[in-house]
Amino acid sequence: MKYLLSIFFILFSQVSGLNSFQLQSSVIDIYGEYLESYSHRAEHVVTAFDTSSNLNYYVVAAKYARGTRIAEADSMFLELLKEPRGDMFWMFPVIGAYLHGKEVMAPEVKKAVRNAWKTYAPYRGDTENHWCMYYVSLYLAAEQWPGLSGAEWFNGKSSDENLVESREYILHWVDITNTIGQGEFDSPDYLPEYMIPMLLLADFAKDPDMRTVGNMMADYLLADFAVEHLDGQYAGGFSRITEPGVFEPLRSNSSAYAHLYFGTGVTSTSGWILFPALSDYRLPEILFHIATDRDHPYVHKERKRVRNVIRYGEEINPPVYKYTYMTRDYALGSLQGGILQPIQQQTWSLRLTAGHPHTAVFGLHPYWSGFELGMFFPQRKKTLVADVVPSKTTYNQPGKWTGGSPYERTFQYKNTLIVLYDIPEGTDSEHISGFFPKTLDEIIIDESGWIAARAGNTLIGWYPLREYDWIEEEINWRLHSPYRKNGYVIEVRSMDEYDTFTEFRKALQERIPYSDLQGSGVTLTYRNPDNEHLQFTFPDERFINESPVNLDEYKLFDGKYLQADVGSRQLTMRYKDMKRILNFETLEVIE
Amino acid sequence: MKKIIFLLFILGMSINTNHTIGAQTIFEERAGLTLQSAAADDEFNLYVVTAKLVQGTDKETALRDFRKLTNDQLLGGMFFAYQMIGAYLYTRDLLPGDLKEEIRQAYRDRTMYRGDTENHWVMYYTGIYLAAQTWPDLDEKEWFNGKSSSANLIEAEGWLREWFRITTTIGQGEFDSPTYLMTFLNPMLLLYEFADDPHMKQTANMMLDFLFADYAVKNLRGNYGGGHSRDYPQDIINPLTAPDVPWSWLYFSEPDFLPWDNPMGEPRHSGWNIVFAALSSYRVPDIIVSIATDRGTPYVLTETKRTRNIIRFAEERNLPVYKYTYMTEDYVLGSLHGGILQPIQQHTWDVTFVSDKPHNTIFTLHPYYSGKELAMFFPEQKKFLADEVDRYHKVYTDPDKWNSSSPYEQTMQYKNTIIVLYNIEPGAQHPHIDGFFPKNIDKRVELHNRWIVSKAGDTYIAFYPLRDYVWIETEIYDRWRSFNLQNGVVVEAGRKSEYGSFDNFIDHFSSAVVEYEITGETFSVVYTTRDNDILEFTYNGERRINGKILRFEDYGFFNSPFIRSQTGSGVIEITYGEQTRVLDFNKNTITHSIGSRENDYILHCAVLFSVPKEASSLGYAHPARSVGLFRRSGDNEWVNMHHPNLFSYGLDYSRHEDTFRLYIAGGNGLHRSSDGGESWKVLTGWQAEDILSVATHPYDSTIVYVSTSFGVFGTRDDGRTWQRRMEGMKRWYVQKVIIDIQSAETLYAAAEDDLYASYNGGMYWKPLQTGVPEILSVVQHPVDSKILIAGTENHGAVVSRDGGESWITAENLPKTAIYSLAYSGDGRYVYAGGYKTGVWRSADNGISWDIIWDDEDVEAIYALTVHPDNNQYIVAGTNGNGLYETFDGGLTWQHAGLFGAHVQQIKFIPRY
Repeated sequence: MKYLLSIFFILFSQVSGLNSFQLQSSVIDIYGEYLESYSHRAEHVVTAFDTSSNLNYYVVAAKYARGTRIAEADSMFLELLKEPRGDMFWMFPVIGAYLHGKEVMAPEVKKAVRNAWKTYAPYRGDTENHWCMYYVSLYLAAEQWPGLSGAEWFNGKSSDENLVESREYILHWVDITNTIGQGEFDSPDYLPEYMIPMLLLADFAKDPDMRTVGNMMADYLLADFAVEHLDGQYAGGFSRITEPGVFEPLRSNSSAYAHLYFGTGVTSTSGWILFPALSDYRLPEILFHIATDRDHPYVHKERKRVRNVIRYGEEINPPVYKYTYMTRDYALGSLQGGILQPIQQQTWSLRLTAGHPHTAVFGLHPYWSGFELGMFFPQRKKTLVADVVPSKTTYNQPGKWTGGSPYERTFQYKNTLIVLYDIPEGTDSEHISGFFPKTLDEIIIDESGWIAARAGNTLIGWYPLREYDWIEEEINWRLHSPYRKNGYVIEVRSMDEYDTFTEFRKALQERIPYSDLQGSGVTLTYRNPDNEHLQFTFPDERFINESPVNLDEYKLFDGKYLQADVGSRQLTMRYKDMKRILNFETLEVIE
Repeated sequence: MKKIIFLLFILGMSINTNHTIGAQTIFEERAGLTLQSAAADDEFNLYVVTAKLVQGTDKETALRDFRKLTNDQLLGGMFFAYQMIGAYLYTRDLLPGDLKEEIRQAYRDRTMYRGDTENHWVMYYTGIYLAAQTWPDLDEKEWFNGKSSSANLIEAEGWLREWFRITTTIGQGEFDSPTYLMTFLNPMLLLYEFADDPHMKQTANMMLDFLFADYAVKNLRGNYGGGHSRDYPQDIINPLTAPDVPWSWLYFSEPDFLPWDNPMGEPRHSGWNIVFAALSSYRVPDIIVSIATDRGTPYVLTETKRTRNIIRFAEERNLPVYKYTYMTEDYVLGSLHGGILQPIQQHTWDVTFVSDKPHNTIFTLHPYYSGKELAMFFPEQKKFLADEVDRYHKVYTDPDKWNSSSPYEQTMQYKNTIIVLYNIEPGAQHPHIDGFFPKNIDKRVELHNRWIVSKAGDTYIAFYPLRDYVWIETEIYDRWRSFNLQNGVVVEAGRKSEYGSFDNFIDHFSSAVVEYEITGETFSVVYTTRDNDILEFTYNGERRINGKILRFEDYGFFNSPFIRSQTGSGVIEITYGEQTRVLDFNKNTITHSIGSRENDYILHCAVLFSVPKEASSLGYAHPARSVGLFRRSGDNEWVNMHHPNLFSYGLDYSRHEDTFRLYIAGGNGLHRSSDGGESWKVLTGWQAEDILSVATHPYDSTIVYVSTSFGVFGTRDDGRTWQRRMEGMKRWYVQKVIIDIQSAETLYAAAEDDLYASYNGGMYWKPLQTGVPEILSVVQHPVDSKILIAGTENHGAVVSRDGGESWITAENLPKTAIYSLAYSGDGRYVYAGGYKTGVWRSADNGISWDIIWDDEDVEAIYALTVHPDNNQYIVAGTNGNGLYETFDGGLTWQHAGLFGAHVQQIKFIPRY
C-alpha cells in the first residue's frame, strides 16, 4: 500500500557494488538535470494554455492552476458548460479543470459544474480508453460530491453507487492490464486517454490507495512506452494508430508525451499534454534511462490481448504477441498478425531516426469487412462498415495505410521480418501495399528482387515475393502487389554493421528467400545475412534454425528492461543496476 | 335468519341506488350492510362467524362457532378448505392462539376431499394454496395429504395457473352458473386479498374482472340470462332467487331488493356467501358495472365455452360449447347449441323477462337421464350412476324435472328468435318434452295457427310447437308437454316498444308461418322472423341465416359490443363507451384506457444514432444528438424522452398495479424510468456492456432480463443485483432475449451460434438446433406459444411449430439478414424486415412470405411493429432513414419522421 520512493537510495546502494557516494552523486546529477528540464517543458505547456484565449477546458484548467486569471477561467468555464458535449472526452477535462480550480473558482461556477454532472448524460463509450476516461472521471466526481442521491446525477445513481461502480471498474481494468495486458496497447494516438485519467487519480483521488493506483499505472504505461520508444516515436506494432501518425510518427499524441517525459521528439501544446504538465507525477529515473538509452540493440517481447471479441471468436481476449527490435537508429516491430483490433491496427512497422518527417516503413493488406467490425462492435454486421466510414473515413479504402487483416501473418527474429499473406478470392481488396517514404536517402530496386533503401545510418531491405507496381504518391512510393498469395522479407541493418550501402546490397543479393506460393499454402524459407535460418508457413508455423517458435511462451513483458509474467500483477523494471518493481497485488512500489 | 329481516329492511331503506353517486359508493354501502346483517344473523357457518368477528358483534358466539366449525369432524372437503382459510385470514388478528392452532391442525388432521368438479378444485386448491402460504416450511407430517407446505403450494399454484389458462383461452366448463358462480368468485377474492405472490394477486384480480365481465354482459336486472352449464330447478324457474342474485345486488346494484328479504321467494342460499366479497378490497371496475346495467340498446353476445372434462365416450376431452344471447331492456333470450354439455344440471335455453313477479321465464327441455351421460363425466360404474346421482340431486331421473341436458336437443338462435328441435331416440327414458310457462304472466293466448303468445310486462313471447301438446297445471306454472319423439318449438320474443301493443303482436303471429318437414330422417324447420330474417334449421344438419350457413366457429370466445376475445388468445377486451379494459392473461396485465383504442398506445422508438444527410461524422462528439428514446406526441412530433444517450438498442415497459416503468437498453447499461421518462436510472453496472435488448417479466416487476454482447443478464431484485446467465451457451453475443407468452420462466435468446431456450429463467440454456448460425431476431406467436420464428444473419428465417423441437426454413424470404420480426396483435400476420429486404408479410406463421414494401432509399429494416389493435397499422424503423408507416396493411407507406435515425426498436406502449 505504500509508495516506496523514499527507500530508493537505500536499496540502490545495497544492491550495487559501487561506491555509494559516487553512484548517488551521479544518479542525482542525471536525474536532477532531468527533473529540471522536465519542469521547463511542463512550464512551457502550462504557460501556453494559461495565456491562451481559446475556449476549452484545458485553458480553464491551466488558468486555475496558475491562479493568475481566475475570473477569466470562471467566465470561460461557465460559457463552456452552457453546452456540454463530448461524453467521456468531456468528463475528464471538466473534472480536471474543476479539481485544479475548485479552491479558487466562483461559487456559481462550482454550482454550474455540479449541475452539469446532473443534467448532461455522457455516453460511456465502447472502447477501453472510453471506459477508462469515463470511470476515472466519474470516480473523482463522486468523491467530490459525496452523499448525493441518484436524482443529482446524470445516470440516476447516487454518489455512493457511482463511487463503488467506478472504483470496481478501475481496479478491474488495472488487474486485467497487469495479468493479460491492455487491449488498446501501445497506441501512439490513445496513450493520453489512459495517462490523463491515471494522473488525475494520482493527483486528486481522496482515497490514498487510488492515488497509488494512479501513480503506479502511470509508471506502467510510461514503462510500456519507454521500452519501445525511439527518438520521440512509439515503435513496433500497434493496436491503434491513425493517419498521419502512421507515416509521420512525431504527429502522434504519444510524441507529445515523449517530449514532456523523455525530452525527445518535438514540442507540443496539444491539450492532451496539459494535465500531465500540471501533474505532480514525475517520471521515475529508471524509465528515463530505459526510454533514452539505445546504446545497445535489444529484443523486447510482450504479450497483450485482443480487444474484447464479442462475436466470431472462441475466446474473448486472445493473446497478442509482440516482438520489437530496438536499436539506436531504428526499431523494427511486429504483432503476429490477424485481426487483433478493428480498423486501426498496424501489424508491423519500421521506425527510423532519420528521414523526418516520414520516418516509417511498413506494409499491410488493406482489409475491411463487416465481419471484422462485427467481432468487436455490437451493431448489425452488414451495415457496420457504412456506420464506421463516416468517422473512420479511410476504413474501406483500398489505398488506406492502417488496419489489420485476417490474411496477414508475421515472423520476426531480431532485425529480420517475414510477412506472408493468403488472401481468399473475393475479398474486397486482394492486393497488398508497402509504404516507402520519399524522405529515404536512397532507394534502389535491385535486380535480385530486393528493394534496398537507406535512411541515415539505417539500411533497409525489402524482398517482395510477387510482382508489384511501384507507384509514386505525394509523400511516398507505394508498393502495390495484386497477388493473393503474397509476402515479403524485411531486413534492417545499421551502417555500424555494413560499411556502405553497397555492401549491404551485396549481402542481400546473396540471401534470396525461397517461397512456395503456388500450392494451397504459403510458405517461405530464408537464411538471413546473419546466417539464421527462418522458415515460415502461413499462418502459424515458424521455425528458427529448425526449432519451432512457440508464441505461447511470450511473457507479459520480456526484455532486458522490463519483465512480467502473464498473470503476475507485477512489473519489474531494470536498468543497469537500477530496479523498480510495481506490485499491483499489494499496491507497492519497490526500488 | 328471519329475526333480522326487519332490521335489514329498515337499513335497506337507506340504500341509495342512484347510479349517479357511483357504483363504488353503492358497493361500499351495500358491503357494509351485508356485514352488519350477516353479523346479526345466527346462521352457523364461517361467513357469519367472519362477519361477527370483523364487525365486533357477538364475539363470544363467533369464537365459539368458529371453534365448533373448526373441530367438526364431519366438515371437510373443498368448501371447508377455502372457507376456513378465508375466515382465518380475515380474522386472525382477532383469534386466540389456541383457536389459531386448532385451525392449523385442521389442515393436518382433516381429510379434505378434492372433489370432482371444476368449482371443487378451484375451492380446494385455493384453500390449499393460501393455507400453505400461511403456514410455510412445514413438513409433510403437518398436512393432511402428506405433502409439505412447499409441495402443496407448488401443486396448488400449478393447478390454479392451468385453470386460469384454460378458462381464459377455451372457457370455463362450469360456465355461467347462477349457483356456482360464487364458488369461483370467492376463491378468487381470497387469492386477490391474501396471495403474497404479486403475480398470483394480479391474476386473481384479472380473473375477477373476467368472471364479473362474463356475468355482467348477461345480467338483466339481477337475472342471469342465457343458457347455463349448471342450474338448480328452483332457480331455473325462479331466476331472481338464484344464489348469484346477492352478488349482482352487491356489485351491480341490481336487483334493488335485499337478497335476504327476497320478494320473489325464499332463496336456497342465505346469501351470506358474499361476506368475503364485502370484506374484500377488490372492486369491480365501473366499466363492468356499466356493462351489467346498461340495457339501452339490444345486443347480441356470442361466446364459446367448453364442456366439462369428458372422461368417456367422446373423441375430445373438452368440446366447445357455443352460446348465443340476445339482450334487451325487457328480456334476454339465450341458448346453448344443445346436446350433452354438462351432466345433470344443464339449462339449454330460456327467455327471461323483467318482471316484478317471480317465475319470470319460459323455456323447454327434454328431461333426459342416463348412466351414459353421467359416465361421460364421472368415473364410477355406468350402470349404477343414475341411482347414485339421484340420491343426491333428487330430481335427476324425474320426468318432471326442470333441468337437464339431452343428446336429442339442438338449438338455433338468431337475435330474438330461437328454434329448438328434439329428435328423441326411440326407447329413450322420458320420451316427452316439457315447456315452462309461469302462471303469473299477464296473458297467454293460443292462436288458431298453433302459436301460443304470452305477455309478461313489456315482453311478448310467441311460442310455436311443432307437434301437439297438453297442458298440465300446477300452482305456479303450467307445464306444456308434448310426446312426439321428433319435436320442437319456434320462439320469437318481442317488446312493447317494437309492436306498440300486445294486440299488434297477436296480429302479427296470427299470420306467421312456420314451415317444417318431419319425415323420419328429414327433420327441418324454416321460419321467417318479423324482421324478415330467414332461419333454416335441419336437425343434425345445417343452420342457415338468410341463406348463409351459420358457423359456430365464428362465435369467438366473446363477441359482443362489450366483450371481445378470440378463442385461445388469452386476451379479453372489455369495452363500454370510450372506456376499454384489456385483460391480457399472456402478459398478466390489465390495461385500462379511455378514448379510441388506437390512441391508447403511444409509439416509442429506440434510436442507436442519427446522422443527418449533411453530417460527415458520427459518434460521441456529434453535435446532432438525435438519439436515445423517443415518443410520438399527439401531433405526430417525436419527443426525446430526456435521455439523449447514444446507442439505444431496445426498449420495453412494465405495468404492475400502480407502477409503470420504461426501460431502455443502451450502451451505458439498462436505464429505467418510473416517472414516464422524466428521470432515469442506470440499473446495470460496469459488468454489463452493450445492452442489446430488454425483456420485462409479465407479472413481476422485480424481474428483468437483458441480452448483451457478453451474454444474458437477469435481475430478480428490481435491478439491485444482476447475474450473468450463460450456462449452456457456447458463445456470448446475444442479440435479443424474449420471454415466453405462456411461461415467464421460459426465455428465448437469439445468440451467435443458435437460438437458445431456457426453461428456468436463464439458469440454464439449451440450444434449439435451428441449423443456422447467427440468430438476429426471434418472435413468438401471440397466442400459440409453440410457434417461434427466428431471423438469421445469412439464411432468412427459420420456423418452428413445436416450441423449438424442429425447424424449417422460411420458403421465399430473402436469404439475408432478417433483423426484425413482428406479429400482429391477433397473430394472423407476421412481418419481417432485414438487410435490403423491404418488408415482408406471412399469413401462415412464417412459412411463405409476400413482400409488401420496398424502397430503394431504405437499405435495412432494423425494426418493425404492428399496432396491437390494428393489423393495418405497421411501423418500420430503418438504418439511417428514420421511420416509415402504413395504415393500410402495407399498400401505401409514408415517412414517419426521425430523418437520419438508425432505429433499433419500435414499440406501441399503452398510454401512461
